[in-house]
Amino acid sequence: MKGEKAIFFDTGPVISLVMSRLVWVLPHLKKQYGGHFYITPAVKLELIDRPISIKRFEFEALQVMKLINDGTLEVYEKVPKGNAAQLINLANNTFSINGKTVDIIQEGEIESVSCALNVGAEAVVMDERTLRLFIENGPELKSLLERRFNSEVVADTDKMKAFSQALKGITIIRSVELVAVAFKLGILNAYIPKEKKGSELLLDSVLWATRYNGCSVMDNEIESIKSFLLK
Amino acid sequence: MKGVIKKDLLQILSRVREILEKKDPSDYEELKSLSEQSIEDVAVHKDLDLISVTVLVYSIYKILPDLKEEDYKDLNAAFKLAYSSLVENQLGRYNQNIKTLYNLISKSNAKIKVHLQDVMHAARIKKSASLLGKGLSIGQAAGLMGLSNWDLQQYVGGTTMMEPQKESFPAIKRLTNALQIFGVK
Repeated sequence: MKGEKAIFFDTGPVISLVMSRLVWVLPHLKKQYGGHFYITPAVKLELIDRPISIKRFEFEALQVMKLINDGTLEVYEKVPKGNAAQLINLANNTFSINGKTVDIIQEGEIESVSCALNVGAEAVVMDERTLRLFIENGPELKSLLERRFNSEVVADTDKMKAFSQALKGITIIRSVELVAVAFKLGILNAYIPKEKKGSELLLDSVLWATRYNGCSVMDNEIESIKSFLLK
Repeated sequence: MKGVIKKDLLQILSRVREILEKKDPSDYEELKSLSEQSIEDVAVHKDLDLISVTVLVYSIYKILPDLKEEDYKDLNAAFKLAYSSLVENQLGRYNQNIKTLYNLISKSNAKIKVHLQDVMHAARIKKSASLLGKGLSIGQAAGLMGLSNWDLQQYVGGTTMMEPQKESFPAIKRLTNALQIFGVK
């Protein structure tokens, strides 16, 4: 249904929150939001079905499973396969090296944005740098690939524009912003240490926790977020 | 096997063979850079033979200092065989030789055997992180090396690899969007 009050979650932010021991804020955020928190089947596969068979991540998978069982996260089954295939085709045929196109995005990763477009969701939560950069600034992704590869990177500008155009209007937020919202809402208040600048210390600790657990955020962005929330 | 892959593999195997033959420890570091160079080919071609050899070379780099003389000789001989099989286009034999090389590493000595899973796992994580560093998405980078996103994200979280070089979208704008979505004044 178009215009549904919903937010889609990619794999990365949920991993960041679980690893940061902050995933418990999600039910509080959902209550505040009053809409759906969706994950796609591909995201569920990566968050639960695969790690449940890896001893190292079994408990992490169970933590995410609990979020589904208590209704915090819902699996959105109506993936628009055709649209997702079209987007992945565009994304993975945009850049080439030595005449060979480079698959930079995995099919499952595009599902969340594709579904978000389909339902007119308010946002996609995505910690992943590559896809976010591609949506928000294709030429910068080209520069990144050029810097990192020793070979020449050729970009098909028409495809790059078509991809950006298709995803224009998608609002992307990251786990770091979710944590910032949780802080602003007072959800984390029980952790404020009884000392001068206790709130600042708490905010600093949770923002850096997401950064060190995989959220793609720059140091100066963390400082900006802190300044904004503490002013 | 595609011609371009075969050419890449021959280059890698040939150089590894030379390094093992010469047996000069100062060359061992080159194994690391060799696997680093081949990661670009992995990113472009997504070829399982390339992935296998890239991980193999990095694993050898990691275990070489602990390798017994006898095992070193076996490894060297197996590399020669793999190289010649590929030159002769005997792909079945080549695959068997690569399998032998992996087995040789696991059987080389007790110390390595205990840590082999760790070495192989670490090698895949390292190579996966390199792919991420090249600009591939986390799912693509992890998937190519047969890892889960959890493995890779846990590893790269402690590095600067996930950090974008430049953000085109202002941090405060993204934050205010988030606050607005959640109805926070």
